[in-house]
Amino acid sequence: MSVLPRFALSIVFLGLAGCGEVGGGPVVADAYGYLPLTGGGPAVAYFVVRNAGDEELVLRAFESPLFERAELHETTVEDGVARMRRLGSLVVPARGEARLEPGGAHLMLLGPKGALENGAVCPVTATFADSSSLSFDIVLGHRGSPSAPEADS
Amino acid sequence: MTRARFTALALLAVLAAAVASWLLVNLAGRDRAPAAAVVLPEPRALAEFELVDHRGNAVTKATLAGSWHLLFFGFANCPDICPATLGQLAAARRRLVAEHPDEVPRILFVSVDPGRDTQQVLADYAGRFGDGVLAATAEPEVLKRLADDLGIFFRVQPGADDGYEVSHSAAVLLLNPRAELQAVFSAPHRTDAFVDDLPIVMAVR
Repeated sequence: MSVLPRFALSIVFLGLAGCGEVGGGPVVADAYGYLPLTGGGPAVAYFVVRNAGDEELVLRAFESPLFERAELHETTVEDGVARMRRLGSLVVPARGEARLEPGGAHLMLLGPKGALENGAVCPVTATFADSSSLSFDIVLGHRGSPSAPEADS
Repeated sequence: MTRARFTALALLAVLAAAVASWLLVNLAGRDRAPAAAVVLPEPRALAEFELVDHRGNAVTKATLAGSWHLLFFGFANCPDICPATLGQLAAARRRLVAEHPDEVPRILFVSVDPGRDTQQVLADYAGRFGDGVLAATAEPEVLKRLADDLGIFFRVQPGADDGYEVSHSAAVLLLNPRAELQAVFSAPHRTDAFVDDLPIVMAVR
């Protein structure tokens, strides 16, 4: 192998490290999501962002090529009343995690650009406040389908 | 042993068995109080209302009469708590069908978002949750009267993105076969709680 391709490869790996997918950067785990229930309706995704680093990270924005928009929202139930509000950001504490889970924070995927099949793989890119980013895939299933576990069965 | 003594012992044994079974039934009955459902001391009659379901049929007290119904208020564009709750109710229903096929409540999803939840949207939505699910809505003032009658809060207000935001009570209401309010399940919901409590509440009529 000549010097140049090896150098190029190391650049690729450095690039991945910059995205936080290897090394001590943030990682995404337990990602799953549900397809829209109605034509043109929103899909929803849940996952855990783990931060092994010593600095807290702030999730600022999401995007996916399959949807017009991807937004952080949060469901709260207070005095028996459910409300949903948009979150401007979500903190992933140092040596901690942020959980997006049913009944709490979640990723709303709005405006599907095309038809989505059960088990569709949805690429998502998350951008942090320091402009670093993290890309991952979420499998979207129909509620009740094997690829989409119920929150409580 | 004389015959008289034998008869006395036999009578005593019968009496003891009767007391034991009475205790067993009553103590077991006490154990089977619902854990999550709040049962109304007296079922509460509702005022007349008329919704339209996802097939275009009227939903009234008269059409609900004859079956138990689980009511949940929400909206189809809600991606999180509404479908999660309906998914739990549908899962509970599937489990109850296996054990009590004769008395399984139907599910009535009441959309508080008639502006977006057309009959077609509600048909798509109801179809996702299997058999025994009705999705219905009405004009806002009709919904308001029904919600007030059931102690349900909802509000549709201007919001940042899609034009408006919706908030709503997350309780699940159980109507008896006379279309009266019989019990309330408060959020957060658990499928097991529906499966455990519904047969107990439905046995008390």
